[in-house]
Amino acid sequence: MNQTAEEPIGRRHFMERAILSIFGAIGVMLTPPILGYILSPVFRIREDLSQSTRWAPVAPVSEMETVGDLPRTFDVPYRVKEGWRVRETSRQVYAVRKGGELALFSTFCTHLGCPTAWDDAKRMVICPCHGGLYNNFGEVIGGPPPRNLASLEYKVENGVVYLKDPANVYEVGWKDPRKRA
Amino acid sequence: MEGSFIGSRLAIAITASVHALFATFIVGGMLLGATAESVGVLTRDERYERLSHSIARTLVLMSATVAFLGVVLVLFLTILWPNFWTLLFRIMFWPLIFEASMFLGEAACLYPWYYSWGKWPRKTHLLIAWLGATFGVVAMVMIDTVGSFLLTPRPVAPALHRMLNPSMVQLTLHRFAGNLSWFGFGIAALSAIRYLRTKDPRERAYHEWAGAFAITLGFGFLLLMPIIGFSYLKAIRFASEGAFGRLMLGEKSWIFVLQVFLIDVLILVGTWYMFRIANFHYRDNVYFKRYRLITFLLLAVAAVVFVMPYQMRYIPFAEYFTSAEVNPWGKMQPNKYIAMGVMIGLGILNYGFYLGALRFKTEWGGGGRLPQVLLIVLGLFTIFSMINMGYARENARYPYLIYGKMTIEEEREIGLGGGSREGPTSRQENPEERNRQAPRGLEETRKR
Amino acid sequence: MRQSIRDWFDERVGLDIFERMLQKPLPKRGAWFYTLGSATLTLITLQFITGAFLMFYYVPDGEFAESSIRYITEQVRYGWYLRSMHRWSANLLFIVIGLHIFRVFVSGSFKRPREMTWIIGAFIFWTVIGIGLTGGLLPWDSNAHWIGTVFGNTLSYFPLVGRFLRSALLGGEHVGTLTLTRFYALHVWVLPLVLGILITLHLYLIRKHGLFGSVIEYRDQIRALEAQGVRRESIIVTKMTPDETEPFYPAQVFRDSIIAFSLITLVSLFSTLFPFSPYRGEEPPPTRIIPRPEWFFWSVDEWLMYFPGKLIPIGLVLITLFFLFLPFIPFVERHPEVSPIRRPVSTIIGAWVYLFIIILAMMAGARIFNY
Ligand code: HEM
Ligand code: FES
Repeated sequence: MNQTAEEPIGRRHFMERAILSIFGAIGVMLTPPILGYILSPVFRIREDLSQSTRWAPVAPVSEMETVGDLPRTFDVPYRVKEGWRVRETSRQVYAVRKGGELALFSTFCTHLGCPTAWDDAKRMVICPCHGGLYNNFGEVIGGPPPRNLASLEYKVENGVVYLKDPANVYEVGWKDPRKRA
Repeated sequence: MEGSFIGSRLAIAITASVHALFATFIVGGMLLGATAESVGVLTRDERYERLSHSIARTLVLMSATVAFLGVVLVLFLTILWPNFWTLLFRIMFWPLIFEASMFLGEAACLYPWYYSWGKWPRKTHLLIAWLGATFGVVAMVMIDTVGSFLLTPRPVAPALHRMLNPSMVQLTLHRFAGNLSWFGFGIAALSAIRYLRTKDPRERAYHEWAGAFAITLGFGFLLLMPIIGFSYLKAIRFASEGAFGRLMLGEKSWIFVLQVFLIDVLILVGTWYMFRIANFHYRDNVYFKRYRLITFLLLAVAAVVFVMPYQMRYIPFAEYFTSAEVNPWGKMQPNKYIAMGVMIGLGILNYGFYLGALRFKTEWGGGGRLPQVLLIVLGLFTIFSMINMGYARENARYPYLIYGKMTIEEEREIGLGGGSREGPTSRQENPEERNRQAPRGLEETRKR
Repeated sequence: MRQSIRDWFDERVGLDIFERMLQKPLPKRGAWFYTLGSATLTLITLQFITGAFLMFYYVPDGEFAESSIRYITEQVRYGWYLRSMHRWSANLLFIVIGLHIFRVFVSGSFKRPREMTWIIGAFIFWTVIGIGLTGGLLPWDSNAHWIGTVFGNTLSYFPLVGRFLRSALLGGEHVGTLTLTRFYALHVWVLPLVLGILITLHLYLIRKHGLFGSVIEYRDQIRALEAQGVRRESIIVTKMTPDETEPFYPAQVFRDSIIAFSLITLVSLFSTLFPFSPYRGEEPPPTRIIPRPEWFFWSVDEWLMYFPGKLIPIGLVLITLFFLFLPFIPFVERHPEVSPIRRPVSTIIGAWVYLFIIILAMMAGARIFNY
């Protein structure tokens, strides 16, 4: 480089350092806010969930009484808060009578979360994505799913069965992070 | 009458499997022969030329046999199982016709390919070879639509669904890779025999090289087979649950245990052979010996895990050794997957080493007898596993001829079995019940 | 007149740079294979154009996205055409990129001194995959919803960071309002910007180094250098004799134009004959929805299926490593030999990988068609 006598090494050195620091400072001013901005929803999940439906009505008890030991599908309407919007939506659950007790379990395949369906002819719950197979109680009998279909909490009030936390979709993957092992 | 019906099954089964064995050999052979010739043109290495020429001769000798067996098979089907054959022919008219004409096309390319050797211009000659190979592959695809339809039929209309039934693509890929693998091992075994029978060092050099080259294809495609087979079984399970249960969990599951055993042997012996051939290149490497030892140990453990049967009660002669009905160690899930992964992974690695060493191999013919014996073993086991697979496939549908649509009983009523038509009752008892096991539950295995 | 206009621009812009670019010598042999790169460029340009115009009507909002797409396809004049062009050309793009990578790999063109070209190419490939992935969600029909769900859940199996990745990408635990805006921003602005920069660099590097000739010619050159005692590692083969080359303009531009014309005709033909309709008939009831990934993700889908239960992360990590490995290929295969026949190990492995990917995709396709 052309170093002249008037430009002593110190000055040049200073400017190089200064350039670095200036751009470093610009980076510091921009990066954390942007990261925080992008990741904001991640930190707000809990808050959003607390503003979503806690208990969603599934069906009257009288109707549930008719459920046998083959799963029947119910639509569960609920509200979910997502960012700035509260959205009306619905999901499905299976209801089945297991040992005399009513059991609700999820329709979401535990593998990658596809919507499963009960196949009457084959007498299995079948996942259309990668052929996960479950029996009538949602227990895995074949295919890639890592665990049984998630069993869901419910309560009975005023003759109606309510599903707990329908928006809290922790039903895919190895284990339910809400339950401490 | 009873005897003749069983006889008819036997006759059809034998013709069909021998026909299939030769036909697949020819499809693989056309592909490999064309490849070898092309590589020969590109590298100007005369050995490829010679190899493809001898492949062509083998194929010419064989194709007449295949055609003969095919005709015999059709004759048998028409005479012995007229009902089934008419139905199938109606459903699959175009694929079958197309298959026959494609076979004709293949033969029409094969003969000029062989007889014009050295006479036609190179490009025309290569073109003929590849054209014949393409015809062969198309013929195979066509017959696969028929074969897969028997096991996993779909509603007959629309035609696209009939052709692309649930296991069609998997069967085609399985056969495609399988043919090449089978042909590779077959040709390797043939060259091994020639190697052992000659004393001429130049001949020995050529035959040893031909075996090593054939193994690059045989083993390379062998590694694909379990992966495709997995998807194939999944497709069968999806479409014909009963057949899957019979094959994997039920009384015929021992066939599959046997098959896994054969795959184990193929991979182990193949690896052994590759190490023998590649030894010259890695001999000076201090880690090589250790690596080889570890590989074999891992492969052996994986092979044992992989072959571990679950339903002990269905294995012939198992009662002399154990009284357990099922394996006391359980189903070994997911250990079997891991074992399979280890075998394929190590297989790929060793294959890479083998290819890397082959590049530098210049002296051929001094390898001794052992590798050649290994090649013959490989060839025999491949044939064995082909027959076994065919047997498994055909037995899985029992008691159906077309799964879920037509049973053997129905053929017997109308065909050879004599005129005792009892009306619809025999049809009403649902044959699927025979395959269905006790109530579903966790009992049900998660085997592949 | 023409000359004076030219001079006017030359003085202010410096046309000589571009003219020199147009004169850059290219190998004569295998020239048709070299059109694959520009074919990719054609399709990407088409994507930019059609995409920009789709943005005029599209609304990235959970409530309106579907209706706006329906409006584009059913009411806007030629809306169906633009949308179908965008989708067909995206499909074709993946094929053409695959072929381009294959040709570059087989002809050994990624070797010294072109490592950076390859590395940037690999980054381009990642970006294109990202664009394809985010674009799949924008129609916002039920299929898109499930594709997003499956994608997010796949990410969640990554060891340690899985759940965080899923929430960060989807903007929440599941696919919802925030997911769409994110994917929209990524699809129409962030990733295309990155892609644009990367393509510029890619093209700059290609112009800097010139194209690799069809390799077989270099064999003698390498041999001669080796005979002189030069170490193999230090041989750089870039020079071609003049009779092996011809200038980029007009011969190669002519070929490129023919390819561009055929491609766009093809896309246009497909769009007219098989336009994408927004709805597959009536909306089916939720239980009967069968999520169908785009075909270019089929092989990944099939691959992940082979790893059941506790093994899922293994499959996921393996496939991630495969993608991460792409830019390192020039550093793994370092010897200067470029002929596919004289480096059979690489050729066989490359062909094997392609075959494997195709087989996986075919099997997944059969599964998806039949389930
Ligand atoms: C949007 C995607 C891409 C575009 C528009 C593009 C464009 C081009 C063009 C126009 C060329 C010169 C003509 C030719 O060789 O075909 C080229 C060459 C090249 N491309 Fe790409 N490319 C893309 C993706 C990739 C990818 C994904 C890779 C590798 C992973 C890659 C690696 C290379 C290399 C190494 C060369 C130099 C070839 C040589 O010098 O012979 N490119 N690219
Ligand atoms: S999502 Fe259900 S099996 Fe993969």
